[in-house]
Amino acid sequence: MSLNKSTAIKTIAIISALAFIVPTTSATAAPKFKLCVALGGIPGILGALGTTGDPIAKAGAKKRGWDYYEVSNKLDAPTAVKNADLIVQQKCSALIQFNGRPEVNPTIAKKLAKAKIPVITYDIAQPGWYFLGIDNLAAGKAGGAALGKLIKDKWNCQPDLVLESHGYGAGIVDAMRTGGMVEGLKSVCPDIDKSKFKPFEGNGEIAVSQPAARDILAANPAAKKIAVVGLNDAGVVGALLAARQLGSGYEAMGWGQDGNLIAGDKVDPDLKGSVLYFLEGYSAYAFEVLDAIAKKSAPKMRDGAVNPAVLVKPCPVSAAQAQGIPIDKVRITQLAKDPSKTLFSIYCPK
Amino acid sequence: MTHLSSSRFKVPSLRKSADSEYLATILILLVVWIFLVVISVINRSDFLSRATLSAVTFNMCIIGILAIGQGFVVISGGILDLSITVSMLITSFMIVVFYDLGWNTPLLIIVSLLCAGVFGLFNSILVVWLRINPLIVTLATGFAGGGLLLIVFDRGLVDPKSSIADFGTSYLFGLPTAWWPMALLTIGAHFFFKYSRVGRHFLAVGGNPLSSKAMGISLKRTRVATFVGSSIFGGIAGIVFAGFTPEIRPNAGEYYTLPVIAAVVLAGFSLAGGRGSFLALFISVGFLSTIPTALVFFGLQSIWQTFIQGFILIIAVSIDAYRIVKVRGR
Amino acid sequence: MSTNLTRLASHDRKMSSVEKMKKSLSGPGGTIVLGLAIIIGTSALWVGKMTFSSFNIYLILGYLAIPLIIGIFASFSLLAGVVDLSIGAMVALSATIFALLSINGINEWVSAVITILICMGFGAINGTAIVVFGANPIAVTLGMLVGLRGLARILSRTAPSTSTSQDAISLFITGLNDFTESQISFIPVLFIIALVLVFVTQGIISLTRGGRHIRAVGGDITAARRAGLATERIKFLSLLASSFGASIGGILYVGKLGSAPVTLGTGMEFTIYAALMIGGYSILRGGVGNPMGGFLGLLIIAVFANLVDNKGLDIRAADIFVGLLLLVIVYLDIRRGGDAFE
Repeated sequence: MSLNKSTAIKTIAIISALAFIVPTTSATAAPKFKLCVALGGIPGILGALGTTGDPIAKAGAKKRGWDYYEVSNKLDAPTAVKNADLIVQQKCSALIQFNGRPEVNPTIAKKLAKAKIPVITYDIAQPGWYFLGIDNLAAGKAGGAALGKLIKDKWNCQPDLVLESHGYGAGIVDAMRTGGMVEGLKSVCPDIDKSKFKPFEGNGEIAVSQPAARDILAANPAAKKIAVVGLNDAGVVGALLAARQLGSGYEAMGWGQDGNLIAGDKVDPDLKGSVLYFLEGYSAYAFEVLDAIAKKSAPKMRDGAVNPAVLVKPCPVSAAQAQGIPIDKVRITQLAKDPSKTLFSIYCPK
Repeated sequence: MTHLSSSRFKVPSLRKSADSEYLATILILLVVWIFLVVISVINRSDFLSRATLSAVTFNMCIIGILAIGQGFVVISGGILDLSITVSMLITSFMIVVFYDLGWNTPLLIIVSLLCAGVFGLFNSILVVWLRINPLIVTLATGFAGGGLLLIVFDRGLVDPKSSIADFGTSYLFGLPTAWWPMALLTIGAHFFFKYSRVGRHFLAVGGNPLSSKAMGISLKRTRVATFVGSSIFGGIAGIVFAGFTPEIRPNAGEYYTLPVIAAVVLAGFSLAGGRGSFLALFISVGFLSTIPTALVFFGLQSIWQTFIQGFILIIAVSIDAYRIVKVRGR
Repeated sequence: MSTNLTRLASHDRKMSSVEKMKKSLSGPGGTIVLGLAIIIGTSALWVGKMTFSSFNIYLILGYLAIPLIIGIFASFSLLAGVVDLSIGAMVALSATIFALLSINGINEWVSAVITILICMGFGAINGTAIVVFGANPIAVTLGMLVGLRGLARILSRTAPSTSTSQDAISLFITGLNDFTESQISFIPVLFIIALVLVFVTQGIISLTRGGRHIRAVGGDITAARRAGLATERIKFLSLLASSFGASIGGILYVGKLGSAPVTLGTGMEFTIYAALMIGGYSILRGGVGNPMGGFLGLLIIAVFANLVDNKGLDIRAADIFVGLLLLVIVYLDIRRGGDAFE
């Protein structure tokens, strides 16, 4: 054993010595503005942006000659907290954060405030962080009202069931979106009986919402006219498919949120519409605030969902209207070419 | 050393006791399943309906096919294939890719299955050449494969107008079309492992690799066949998955890994290999697929599902182990 | 006869220094230390001086402290020949129960004790199924994993709705947070505690009679039984130990995170057991492995993750590397005489 230890110690010593001789590449003298992005989104909410990176932010930073650093917490709370320390170590000038585990935001805020790093937060409010996001409640209500109109026209405001495909892990965002859709629906069809509303955990994913909806439909065999609202397109489409799978006599109509499955040419026929958030292009809006911070004239703190720093406009679309719009991967490549525009301005039908 | 042809190798008494063990497991599972159905009917008389049958059989499809692949690995002494959901997703994603390229359906299905088989071949090479334990191999390749899927495929969109999507919603003889491959493959596996010579080779290798080797069965070839086989079954499940799910995400496999292992273990398969009945597997898949639907009829939220399934597994495995101990006398 | 003599003769021959170096590096301790040296060296060359900065060391050690504590307790069950796959889920359950009790006004110390007892109760269920009924440990602890995740979810929903989501209980306990975040210079106190635990456990395993008994039970249970050891009790206690470690980990996380997310500990089993395997433990047989090795294994993984973080590498690529790393480690272990599969 002593042989092992001395060899090892020698090896480590040599390598450590190397480290001091080799010139360092990180932490240069000239302080360039460094934009950092900390992601870890609930896949159902922010699609690809949540988990795999933010090409728009990267392109924008490159255009401005800024340094760029990106990290993800893979939806793990201890990693999210560790990433806050990383951000401090990386000496970021500003941080964009989309944290799918918002319950640790207060702990993260403490660390970042100590290092005086300004934060822009997407969709999840935190006191002291610039809030950038969609008014989820308004978007939900708009979608619900649109579906309500269809229910009024087709079924005379008398659906047999209203399935609410929730993603309870999304917390307040789920309450606003799905809850908002229910409110919007009721604003057009106020007389639908309470017992017809069936909330369930769909987790914002087809793999979960589909079997769950199947079981609910089986437990309500008399219901044939099914309306579906939900946290996002995937949660809604899963339930629509469940109705189609159970076969005989079902008429299903759903309206989604986030527009993930309404664009392109493989749209589910029962998804009558959705609300495009253009989530992948959120960062185009962030540069309003970031540019101001870089010029040392940080804007006034607006950290509430009610009074946001940047309000992203949602784009409600019916399936027919969405027909020309390409899927998110195509949209992102378009936007990266010219990040001065926003996806809303490029793609939302007038 | 004389080379014994395996077809002449018969130990009738051992076969009989294995059969009676399987019979006991099958009966116990049937009783528990019927019990669940009975209390559900008592709770709500409309539990027995065409809609319930459809819901349960749909639940069985993907897990049932994956369970055959997993059972194959377990019974052949491969311990567990923790990467089987990666095979499933490879096939699903490749189906999307080839469909978008305009290939015709039968061709793209076969090639997509072959892609899954290549992954299984890779697993088997690590087991056979590097001689690393399959549990660790599939743990590592499952993990790495998941990361690779995430990089290569962000998500895959299946065309609702395609024949694959139709397959996912259509019926045959009153049951979902996708259910029949699962049922037929399970019954096929039962007969294969019980009566065919090749099938009994796998059982022998799983039960006692050393004496199988002495009998002239090639362990290497068995291992390769095992892991390629399980990945093909994963691929078949991937076809069904593509039929059911219009948007395929790389992380979707995580919902199936544990329930599949639970089904295999519940069916009395021994993780040491050499023991397991595919008829029992069919029943255990059926039982586990009935629980979520029954819970809804009882008015319980779906979050109770995992809790109940987990503890049913513990109880079932304990009872089964206790029974074996009593029968074999330790 | 002649073969024995030649073998003896080669042992007596003096080994050249190259041979000595090779021998030391191919021993179990040697592989781990070599691996650690390689990964530290890579980070030093690629990331630069920052690797050795006090903040970076704090980052690495702070992140691995709690998993190390959990892992050391779990190593007892590995040593005894049972693998407890439910530790990650138990961490989440412990955090949830602790937060739930505390948020409802129960004194934190009392909550902690109740939480630990409840988790050890579930550990006892594991133990009963495995030891009394003789069920396969993988199957039982897998079922416990699934069951506890579900239970954590169910309990989390009963929390008062001041939390931001139904899948996490927000609770900031200042005293506990101060403790988990406290440092001596730049080294987290939690890490120091974990390191002390490693040394104590190493001492127990190698020096005490109890340690020898556990290794005997894990190594060859029939021989241990024949030698008169209380094999059932030892296995049962080892499972209680791993559940104890998981419950402590959960409570500490509530302090560190200021919340109890239901997804806590997802995949932690993989990291911890990979680290322990790197350190010489085996999840397929007991009796092998030492805590020092487990600690170094976790350090290797942590330094690797730190490298990925500092260079801003794609996380998904990191996943692939961890899988490959595990294969390489196990393969090297086989080359130096470990368990090959056939």
